[in-house]
Amino acid sequence: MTVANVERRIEQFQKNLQLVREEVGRIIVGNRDVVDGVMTCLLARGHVLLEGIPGVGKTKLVQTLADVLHLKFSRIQFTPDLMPGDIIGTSIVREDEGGRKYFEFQPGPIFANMLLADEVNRSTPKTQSALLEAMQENSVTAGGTTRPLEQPFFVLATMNPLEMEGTYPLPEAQLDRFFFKLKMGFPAIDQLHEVLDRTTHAREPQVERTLAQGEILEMRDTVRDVPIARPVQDYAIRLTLATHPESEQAHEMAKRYIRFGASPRGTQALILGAKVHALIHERLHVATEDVQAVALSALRHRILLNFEAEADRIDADAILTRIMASVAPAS
Amino acid sequence: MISPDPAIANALDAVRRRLGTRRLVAALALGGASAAALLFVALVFAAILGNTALAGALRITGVLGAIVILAGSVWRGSRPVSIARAAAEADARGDLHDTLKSALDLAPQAPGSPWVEAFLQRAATSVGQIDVRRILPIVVPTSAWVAAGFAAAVLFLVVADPDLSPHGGELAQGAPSVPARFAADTDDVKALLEDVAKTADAGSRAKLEKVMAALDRPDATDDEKRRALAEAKAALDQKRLETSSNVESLQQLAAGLAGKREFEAVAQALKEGDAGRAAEEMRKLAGGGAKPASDNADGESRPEETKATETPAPVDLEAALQAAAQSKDGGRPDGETQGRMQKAVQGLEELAKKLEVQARQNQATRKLNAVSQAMDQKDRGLRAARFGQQQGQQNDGRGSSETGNADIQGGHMYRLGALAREAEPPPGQEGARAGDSSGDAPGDPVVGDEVNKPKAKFEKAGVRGAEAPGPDGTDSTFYAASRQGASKVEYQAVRAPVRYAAEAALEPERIALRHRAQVKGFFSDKPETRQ
Repeated sequence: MTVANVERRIEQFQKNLQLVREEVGRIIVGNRDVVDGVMTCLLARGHVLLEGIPGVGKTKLVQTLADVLHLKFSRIQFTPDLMPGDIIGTSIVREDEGGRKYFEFQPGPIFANMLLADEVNRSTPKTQSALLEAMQENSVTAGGTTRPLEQPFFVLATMNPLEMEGTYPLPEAQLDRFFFKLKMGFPAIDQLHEVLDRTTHAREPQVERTLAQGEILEMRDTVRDVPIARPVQDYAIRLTLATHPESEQAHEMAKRYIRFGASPRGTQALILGAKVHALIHERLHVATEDVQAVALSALRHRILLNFEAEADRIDADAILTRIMASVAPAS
Repeated sequence: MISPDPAIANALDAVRRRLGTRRLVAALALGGASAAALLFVALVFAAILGNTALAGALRITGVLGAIVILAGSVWRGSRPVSIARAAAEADARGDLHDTLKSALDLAPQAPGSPWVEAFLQRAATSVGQIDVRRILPIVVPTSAWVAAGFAAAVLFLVVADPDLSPHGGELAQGAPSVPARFAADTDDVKALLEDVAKTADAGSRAKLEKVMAALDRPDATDDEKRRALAEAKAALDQKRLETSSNVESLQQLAAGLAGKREFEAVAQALKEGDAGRAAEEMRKLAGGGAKPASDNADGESRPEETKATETPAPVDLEAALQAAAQSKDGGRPDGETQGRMQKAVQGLEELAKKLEVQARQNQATRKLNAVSQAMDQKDRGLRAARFGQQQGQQNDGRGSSETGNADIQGGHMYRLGALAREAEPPPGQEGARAGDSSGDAPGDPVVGDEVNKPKAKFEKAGVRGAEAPGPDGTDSTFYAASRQGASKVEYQAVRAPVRYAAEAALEPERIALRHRAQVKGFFSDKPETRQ
């Protein structure tokens, strides 16, 4: 590969990204950060957890993205009676022409490129755990056979923070497997006007499929090639360590309010997310500000707060913001 | 860690040079401020300590400390700036998003990585656009202004008072310094004190000699000299107190001769306070028969009984003058008249000598005041305000509370003159806020409706141990101010302040709380027939 090739790949990356943004923007009003965050997860080979009140467009965003990316899309509505087999699939007994019976695996909805796990916290932990292997290993084991998932495999889970009645909190292990946790806020007045204009008329806008499966995989490879300097990487590590209350570099807020700090997977998310962020902003290297830009999304679900934090009504974002302000930038 | 791209290397070099200059300026400013502050403090403390060895050591320490701080600042500011620091500064100030930092770190990987090469090419382009002078301006830090302020203060101190300078004597050759003036005045005082001591009694003489010895001692400290001067002043004041009635007696003598035409010239001279001229006039009246007392001192014409004693018996001048006037008016024989007038002449001459001694004492007192003032001016511990007060009080015309005499501009005014000027009680008796040089201030006047201010009385008093008239009838008493006086102060009964609650209870209806129910009942229960 030559320098010219690199420049061409970067140019293509930004062109594709711009196309996705424009198409998604035809349906989804505002929430540019959330769209970028979802794209970041997709390009960094991660999965995303979307949190927001009902009706702000979480599911619509995922559906739109699936339409734009020209990927195989499936949706699972998580309910308390949902079973793991409903997600992964199940082996059924079949009879061949000779009358012999055999088991045939019937793939579940997880065998798709883009999986929407709607209201993921409404199912039991057992069912939620069915996603663990798929999210981490990109494979599914059923009936003693491990089956790889088609790439790209991308899980978008939505979670409603208000409907806590009849829900099950996500286990830490599963939370850690989500690359980003994004929050969708209530739209502003002008954005709400735009939403109403688009959705309350006879004809709703349609999107076109712009990116093929191969292009997404190429963009994923491009992200991994972005160089990062050691000082910036060191900054990401220091930031992660500052969330550990037992660490020497722990921040005072971490010592007081955090029970468990972010995992190494969180640091990986920081670096990969920073690489995508750098490319989105047309840079060929990762800067400290790229790490800072993705730190909240990458770490907010990876730190476990203690009782004191809940008593003081301190959330993870507030703690991480204070920690970021105290950790010295790369030098 | 050297960047392979010349553009990046050049940019980093430029940033390093710029940062070095900024660091030097900042270090010099901070060092200058510290050095100037140290020098300022050292000079001020040295000035407070005065001309002592410790003050000199403090000045030298201050100067050396300032030099060391400045040298340290130069060394600290001239240290080279690391290339990593330059990259970090340029990234932060040039909004380069860690470009230079990353370039420095990733440069070694460039040969095998087209991504890094591409990045370095972009970095070179970005770095080429930055203006080092714009992103790293050389600004004068705040500490530099502090340094300038302290330096100006030090310069002002040195220029305003060369004595503060470590080489103060060299800077102020034009005008005599305070110590020089002090030395000259001290010599004058010593001469005057010696003169006064010749005519003083044994006790006063001993005191004055002690003072002179203290002033002569080269190792005497300022405090010792100040104490000696205060003792001398006290001794002179006592002497002045004792002789303060001399001038006063001249007026009484002149009043006694009023209406006697032949003695008009004598009375006039007495009124003017010139006892010598009065003696001369009296001698003329006596027709030249009376000889000066100095002539009599040789013993030729003195009576035999007075030869035995060293000093002639003091003459009751008033009685002698009255007797001489009566004999002149009564047409008595010339011999007796001559004798009485001779006695009057003798008395006047004695009085003239006393007045001369008193004049020298006054001169010595004034000189002492001047020297004390110079001492205080030399003493940096004396505040300017106090110094001004003290200077103003030298001739403020206020009478002494003990003698009634007052130092006024151009000389010393005696009690009679002071009384003549005293249209109202002197402010000193009424209280003044100004205070004196020692910091003591009389209290404020008593507050009241009616105040009869204390009236100072003058009463005859005598020198302690010699209050009774002498065997020859001479009066050894003098007039002194009495501290007792009719003083009537009637205090008006102070009304207790109106209680806030009671006052508030009246507002806004002006009806007290305890009466409100009755008032309300009055109106609400009013029967219709009364409406």
